[in-house]
Amino acid sequence: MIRVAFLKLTSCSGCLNQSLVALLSNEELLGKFEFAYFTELGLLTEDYFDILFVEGSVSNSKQEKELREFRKKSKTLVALGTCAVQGGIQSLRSGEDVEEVKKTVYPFPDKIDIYSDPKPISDVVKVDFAITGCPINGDAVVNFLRKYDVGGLPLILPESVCCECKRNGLTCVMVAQGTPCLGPVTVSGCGALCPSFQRGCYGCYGLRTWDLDKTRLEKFFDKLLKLGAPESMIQVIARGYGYRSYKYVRRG
Amino acid sequence: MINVSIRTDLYYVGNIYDLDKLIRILRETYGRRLQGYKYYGGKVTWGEINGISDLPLSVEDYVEPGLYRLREGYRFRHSSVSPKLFLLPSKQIYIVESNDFSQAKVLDYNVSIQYVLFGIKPCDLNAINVLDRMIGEKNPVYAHRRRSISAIIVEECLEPNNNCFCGVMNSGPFVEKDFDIAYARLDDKRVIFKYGSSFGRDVLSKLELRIAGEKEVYEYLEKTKLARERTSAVFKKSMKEIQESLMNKARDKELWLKISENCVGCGNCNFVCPTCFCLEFDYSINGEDQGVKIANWTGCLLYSYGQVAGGHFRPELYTRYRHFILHKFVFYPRQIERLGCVGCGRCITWCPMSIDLRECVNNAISG
Repeated sequence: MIRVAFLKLTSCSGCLNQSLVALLSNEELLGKFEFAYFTELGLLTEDYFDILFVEGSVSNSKQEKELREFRKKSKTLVALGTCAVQGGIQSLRSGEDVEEVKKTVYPFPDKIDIYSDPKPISDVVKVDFAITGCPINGDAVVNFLRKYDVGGLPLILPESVCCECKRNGLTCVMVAQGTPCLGPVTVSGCGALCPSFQRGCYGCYGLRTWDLDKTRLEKFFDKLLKLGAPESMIQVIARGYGYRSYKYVRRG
Repeated sequence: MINVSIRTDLYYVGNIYDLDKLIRILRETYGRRLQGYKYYGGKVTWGEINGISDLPLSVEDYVEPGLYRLREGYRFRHSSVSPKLFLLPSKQIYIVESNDFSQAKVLDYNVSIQYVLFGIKPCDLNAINVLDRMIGEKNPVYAHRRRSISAIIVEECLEPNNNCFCGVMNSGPFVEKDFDIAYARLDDKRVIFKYGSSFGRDVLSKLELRIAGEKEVYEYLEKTKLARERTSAVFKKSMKEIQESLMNKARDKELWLKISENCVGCGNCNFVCPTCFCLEFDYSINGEDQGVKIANWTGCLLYSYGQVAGGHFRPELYTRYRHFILHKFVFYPRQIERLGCVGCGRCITWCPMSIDLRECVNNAISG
């Protein structure tokens, strides 16, 4: 039996729910894997794990310590979702003074343990495999477990969302409707969910960074602004979902 | 000023309801199934044509680089789909095998149904010709689907759109060979027909059309000539000079960096291109303990395209963009003795960054 654990840090549990739904609809998997640690199911055995899925970003010292301990107990660590991989939505607060906020909200701000910049888990521990998405596509977890079971890992072919759009025969929302869409610069994996409902992609899988430089990205953002995208949309991709990657994007 | 040497007996004139008759004859008398541009839900997609209501007869596409709008009119030219969608589907399942490799099933794409491609454009016809030479029998899915096509009916463009440059690529806007029936819409009602094979002649004779008058043929030829001229004045040099110039400048990094400066590598141009054929194999395991081998569309603009075991042969975006242009204009002629670009302009229309291929080629040869 392969022992599997799900650890939750700062996050919304969306990825956990997606994994859970996907696992429950593939019952043959449940016989091969033993779920040792999964707080949502009340499973709390902490000895050792073959696979540790981590959802969420690291927001305070307590979480950092917990994550380090779990890493020591596990063979393979999989970052689950954009929060774990890149920082996620909470990264929107990056660069702002969290001490000020604490003072205005809480009577004893010293008791609140929180970092001003949330950390992706790769800042704290070694990550073996990453599944992006906000929330993730449950099939990705199932696919990972199946391939792990036969002794391999999924092959990741990072592409733009446009590829999935075109393969599914969807009409481009940006070109044909003028809807601002982040698909061209976003990592694929969702199956072009938003464009199939005539919405623009909002980049929840994170920026494609390996071949884009800042100049090209700025040009793309200019194009979005011309189409009437609000400045906040750019902020979300550049500081929220894509904060980490945007920071490390190569200069053009 | 009517040219007396025009042979009017090759042309027939009817109205748009004769298209309905044509569809019905092909379906009922000949038992064929029709595939073509289908107007459905306010969009033009690819699909099965069952009657005149499936045809995009009352819409027109307005295009600019990076812009596409459907509006009322009668001159439909393109949408993002092409016959590639039928001949080389975006996801092709090849092999289904059991987890212990004891059983394997190769999927059979041999179809006994006879299809007719209805209302494809001259550039699409040329794109099929390119794919025939490039893939031919090498891909079982393509080979079987190509064999199932028994006839091709082409709609000629008398008013090409802004992004069309088929004239200069010698692939439109009219057809001369490799078709069965070709028709063009003189205006919103009148349609002029011609045949290109004995099958086409037989079908047309069943339509009971009247033979075209000299005036109509003259009008048709005049409009085709204008359309050809409009789509020909694109490049500053002749095709031979373009090819030489592109090859001479292939190693100029600064130039190609400049040309590809707006590209974000999304791969839209690859997917809408009617002659792009690259596939990528993916292996997945599904619930019944089966492994499935699937071929997916991929494109040379994508980062994953150059990824191989042990490294990457085109990690920088400008090299991939350069390859896209060089392949279409220089390498295809070496491989299959004809240009890989048919001038349909889809890559210009569907580029989210409004990159104009014509401009890029012009910049490359003059810069």
